[in-house]
Amino acid sequence: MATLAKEASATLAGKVALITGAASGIGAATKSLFEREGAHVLGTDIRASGDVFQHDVTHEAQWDAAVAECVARFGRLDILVSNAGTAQAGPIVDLDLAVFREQSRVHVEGAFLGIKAAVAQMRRQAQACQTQDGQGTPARGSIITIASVAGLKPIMQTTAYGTAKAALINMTKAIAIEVGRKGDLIRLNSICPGGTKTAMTLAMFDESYWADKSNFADMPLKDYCRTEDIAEAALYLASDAAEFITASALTVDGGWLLSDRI
Amino acid sequence: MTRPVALVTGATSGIGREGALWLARDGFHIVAAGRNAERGAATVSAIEAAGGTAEFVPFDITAEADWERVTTDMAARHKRLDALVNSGGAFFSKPLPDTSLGEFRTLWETDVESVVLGTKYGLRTMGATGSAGSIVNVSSLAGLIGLEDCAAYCAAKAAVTHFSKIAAVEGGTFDPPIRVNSLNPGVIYTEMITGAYGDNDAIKAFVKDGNAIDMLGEARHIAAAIAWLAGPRSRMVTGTAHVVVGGRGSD
Repeated sequence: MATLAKEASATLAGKVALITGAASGIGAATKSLFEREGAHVLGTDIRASGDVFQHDVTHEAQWDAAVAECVARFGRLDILVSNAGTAQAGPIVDLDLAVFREQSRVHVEGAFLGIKAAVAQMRRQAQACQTQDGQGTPARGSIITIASVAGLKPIMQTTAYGTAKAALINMTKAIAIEVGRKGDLIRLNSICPGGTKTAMTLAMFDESYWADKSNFADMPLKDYCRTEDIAEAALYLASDAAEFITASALTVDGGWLLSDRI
Repeated sequence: MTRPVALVTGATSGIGREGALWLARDGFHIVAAGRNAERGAATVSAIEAAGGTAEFVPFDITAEADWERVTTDMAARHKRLDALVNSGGAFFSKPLPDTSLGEFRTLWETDVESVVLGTKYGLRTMGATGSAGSIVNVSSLAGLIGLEDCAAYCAAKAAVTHFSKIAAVEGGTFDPPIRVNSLNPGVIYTEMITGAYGDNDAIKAFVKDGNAIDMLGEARHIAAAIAWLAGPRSRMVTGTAHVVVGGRGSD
């Protein structure tokens, strides 16, 4: 019988994570939680700040540079949190194709390029520890894409954002199946936050909106998510405790998905 | 008693027992429920031997009177109920033409009615004690997709999955709100599988083969998910069907 005593080591001790969109909001909260739990984290964002690395997720070459920076700083890559995103809201009849394309580029192409780069790096790491008899060892890692409840249910005026997030969720599952069937132990999952107060959403809804509880009265938990709530879900999915979880979409939404609120 | 209290059904074996152990590790006092007193005592001593606290209550999860008795007693003694894990259940595999209505009903009582009763008395007890509780209903991947020769089980687990979403909406009307989620494991190598199909390497390989990743699903994988859903780190998660399936059934 294993002891019930809590292991002294932190949940992510010795692990290396790359988190995009890490200058603010969910990315910043995830970076600090992961660091508290013992991980080395390369945070990236569209603009460099502090120890956050400059990285436009829509450019393939910049993904190569970000992964190379992570490996240069910490020696490897175990966890990718593809979090960088941008908001959109408005009626479809006024939706510019350029806005639709920007949503697709950031959320779908950005994650596509990131997953591709991360899987390649995780496979290189596995090849590097190939056994003497020539048998390969499976690549390991956890890749988390931050999607949205808007990618699971239609939410008013999120035509471009919600469509991109739905594509992101299904792409994440498809790649999870693909890499798993090829023998890798790389896990891919999405987190689908509900309303979360971040720099991104504050640009759409100001402080008075978040302070007014009546705006959340039709949510089962009568509240919005804090960035820390999403970070906790990312920690859970990144941890070894979740080693059997792949191809899932985990909602952290106060129950928005099942409420009749759109 | 200041430590959080969790009631775990089906705690005499498999996922329920392992879930109780993980919750004890997270600091919960465990009320372990099940029918077999000998196996219940084994769960309690396993928790105590490792530094946790637990008690066993013999109890038929399909009997409403038992739920009322046990939860009333818990509310009186502990004054709180922080987590309820409805893990008790049964399984059988049989082609539909060979399945009797009696067999269908027996499984429905054990897998669905037990969860309905548990959630009802869980909500009552959490509400009466002012507990911001979390209810975890152990369903199955079989509640989301169809599995060959498992019509009764798939129907029952689909009922549990959807019932949990409805209960999550109702749980939100309590103050403080009560969370309700279903947990949908894939095929996990426990007594439920070995009892139905046998305990050998061929069954193990068969169980693993359906997964997208090359890993055998074990009770500890589900216990980790139980502990996360039952505890405060998932405080904004309600009404979800959390799939822990090794990628099975997703393609």
